[in-house]
Amino acid sequence: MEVNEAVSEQGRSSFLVALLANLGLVTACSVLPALILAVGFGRFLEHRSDYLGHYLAGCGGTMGVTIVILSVIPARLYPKLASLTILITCIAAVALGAVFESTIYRLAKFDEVDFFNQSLGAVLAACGLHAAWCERKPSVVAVLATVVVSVGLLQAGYHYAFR
Amino acid sequence: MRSANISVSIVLFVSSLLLATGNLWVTAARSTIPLTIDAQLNGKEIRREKHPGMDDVLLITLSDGRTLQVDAPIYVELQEGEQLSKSFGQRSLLHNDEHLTLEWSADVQGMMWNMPLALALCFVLSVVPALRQLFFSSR
Repeated sequence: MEVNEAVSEQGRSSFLVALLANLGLVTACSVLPALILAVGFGRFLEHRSDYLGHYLAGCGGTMGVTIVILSVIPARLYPKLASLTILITCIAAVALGAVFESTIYRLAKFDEVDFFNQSLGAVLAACGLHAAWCERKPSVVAVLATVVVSVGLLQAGYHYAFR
Repeated sequence: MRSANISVSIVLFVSSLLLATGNLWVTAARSTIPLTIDAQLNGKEIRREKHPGMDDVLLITLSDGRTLQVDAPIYVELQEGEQLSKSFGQRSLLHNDEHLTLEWSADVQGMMWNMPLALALCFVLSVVPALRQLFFSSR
């Protein structure tokens, strides 16, 4: 009985450590870099909130889609496919942003700065996800936390782009 | 797989470098400071964006076929039919024998701080897989 309790206690401890490690990786590699650059846009380019909006939208959209795709890669294939998946998803996100910018969001003209800012957000999100999950598959908790963060970034992006 | 990780890191960082440089170039070009111009101003056009009066696109068409997006202080000073002249890097634009002093816009000044910040973040995140390989390569 005592042995079972000790094993159970050890299991709980290791689960807690893994949980904190996953959330720590999400924070250090995805949340903090995204927020630091957002503060930079707000501080240095405060007269153009739409630049911040495009950056946040590119970052949030890419982060959310990529982490969901990473989560469905089979574990045995993960080490082979993760890096390439992150890169291809990032390229697709940048291309999709270019299509949006030249069609439904094209008001006066194709705005290169909007495109660069949203693409920079996409690349930063990809860099963060690659740093955290290029070798180890993200846990369900990490996926959920990243999706929540990405939805928040997308909402903030929409707010600042169109306010 | 490790070399693939490092290759992807390099591609991502180079991409961020290109995007940051593009941001700086496009905003700087709107001041015309890094451009060489020797042409007649054939036309001016204002196109409205999401926030009219704040983010309008101000275009000038030159006799050499180029259409340039310029900053507002330049746009309001120029008149159609004027002969424009300046060399690369010059901080003044000659239009019909008058000198217009050129300044970097708030966009360029903001980008000069924010793009290095973006690059620093991308660089730090890009070297993580390489550092992991260096220090934990025994796994």
